Amino acid sequence: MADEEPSVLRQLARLSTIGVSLVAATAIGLAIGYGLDRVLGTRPWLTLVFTLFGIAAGFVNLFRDVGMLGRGRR
Amino acid sequence: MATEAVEKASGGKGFWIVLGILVVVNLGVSFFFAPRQVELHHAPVVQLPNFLAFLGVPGQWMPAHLTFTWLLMGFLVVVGALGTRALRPVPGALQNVVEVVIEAFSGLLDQMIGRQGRQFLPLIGTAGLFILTSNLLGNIPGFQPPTANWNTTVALAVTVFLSYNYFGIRKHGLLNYLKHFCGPIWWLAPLMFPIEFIGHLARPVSLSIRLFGNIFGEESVIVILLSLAWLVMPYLIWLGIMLPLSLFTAAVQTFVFIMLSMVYIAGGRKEGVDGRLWRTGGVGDNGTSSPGGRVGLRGRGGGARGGRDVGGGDQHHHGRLRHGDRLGCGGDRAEPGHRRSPRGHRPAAECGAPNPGGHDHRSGPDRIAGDLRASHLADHLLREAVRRLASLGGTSRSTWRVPPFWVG
Repeated sequence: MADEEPSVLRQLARLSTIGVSLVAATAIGLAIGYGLDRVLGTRPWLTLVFTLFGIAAGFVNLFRDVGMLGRGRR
Repeated sequence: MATEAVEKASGGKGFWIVLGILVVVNLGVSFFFAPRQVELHHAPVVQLPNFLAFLGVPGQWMPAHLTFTWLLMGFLVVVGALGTRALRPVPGALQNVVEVVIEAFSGLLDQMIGRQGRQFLPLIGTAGLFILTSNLLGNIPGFQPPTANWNTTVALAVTVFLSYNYFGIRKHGLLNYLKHFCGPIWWLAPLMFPIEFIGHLARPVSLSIRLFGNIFGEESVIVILLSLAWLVMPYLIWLGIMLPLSLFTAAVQTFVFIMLSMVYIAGGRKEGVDGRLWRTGGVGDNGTSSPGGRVGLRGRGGGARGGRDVGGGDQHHHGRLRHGDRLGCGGDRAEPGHRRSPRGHRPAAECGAPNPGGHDHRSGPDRIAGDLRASHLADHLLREAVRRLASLGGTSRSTWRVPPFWVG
């Protein structure tokens, strides 16, 4: 029990990162792209590119978290 | 008799006294304060006059989260000072509590970061204690937890963000640290850098939003329930459901915050790029290159299932493997995690071909066939799974037919 509990908590902690960080990465990509577009005047393009980067970053985080989850279970 | 058993289970009379005091105080405070406050942000019990008006802080009073932040800071400093004022070999009550807390934090640090983890105890311990006490403060009606305000959690998260980057840079140097962002393949670096950069920026955002959202939501529910406390039923709901729930949330959110901080610090100090996602061979945590990992997976899967059918499939793959490897004599490539099967390969010395550099001597087709065996395995397992599913439903595969209306 004493060995089990921190492990469960840890899984919980890792799991709870997944949703928020997926959204946060996308939002930050969008924000960076939008800001750069405003500064550089390249209206739609950088928003597009950086939003895609943000989505990719979200999924990279997702894969990492899930991978660590599996490792913790072993 | 029943109460005696409960008393024994929950630590005696002191527990009930504390619980009784809590209930009485809560009832009094909530009846006194709550019905007057209809809006979500109830007025806090403790207020300070706004002596920071010259800095542009609006309002006649200090914002509640600042007030309670200072309150907590004072509380923690006083407890810390009292607990460590006169250290004794046989600790008194307060020193005992402080020691337990320190032990808990440093044990967690040892576990997460390693032997050098304890140097981060000031950062992690402070953040953890502050967040824990702050979350618990929300259970006292009339008190607002500072962490229910986004400003506080952003401050905490930005501190963690800057610290773990600083620790990483201090360990590796700026250039080497930035190389972590670029992934293992140099021509992918322009793609990887923004992705990693955004991923790192997302960390403080998610850290702060998670803590703030949990505590604020919980606090809102409690305030609404207590504003209806004169109906008695909401009060009972609060006492029975929300109070235990918010105690649990307080602990879990604290744990989540400090654990993620430790994961980030450990990640910033780690050597090489993340071997789990970028399969660079040898950098991964198991020290396996990807073919070695596959072989390991195959062995484990076959061993664990042990079923007759899967075992047959396994043998089939061994046949392929042996065939391909004997041709090129390259079965004993220098793969760190390569698990030799008991009935497979001959050692390299028997082949008579010295292989000093660990170079792959197999011819092209054999190499490809050898590397494809994982997908063969996947294919086989898929078929097997489908077959078993079909037999589970009571129909064998041969009786499966596409219904006519699907086609038409």
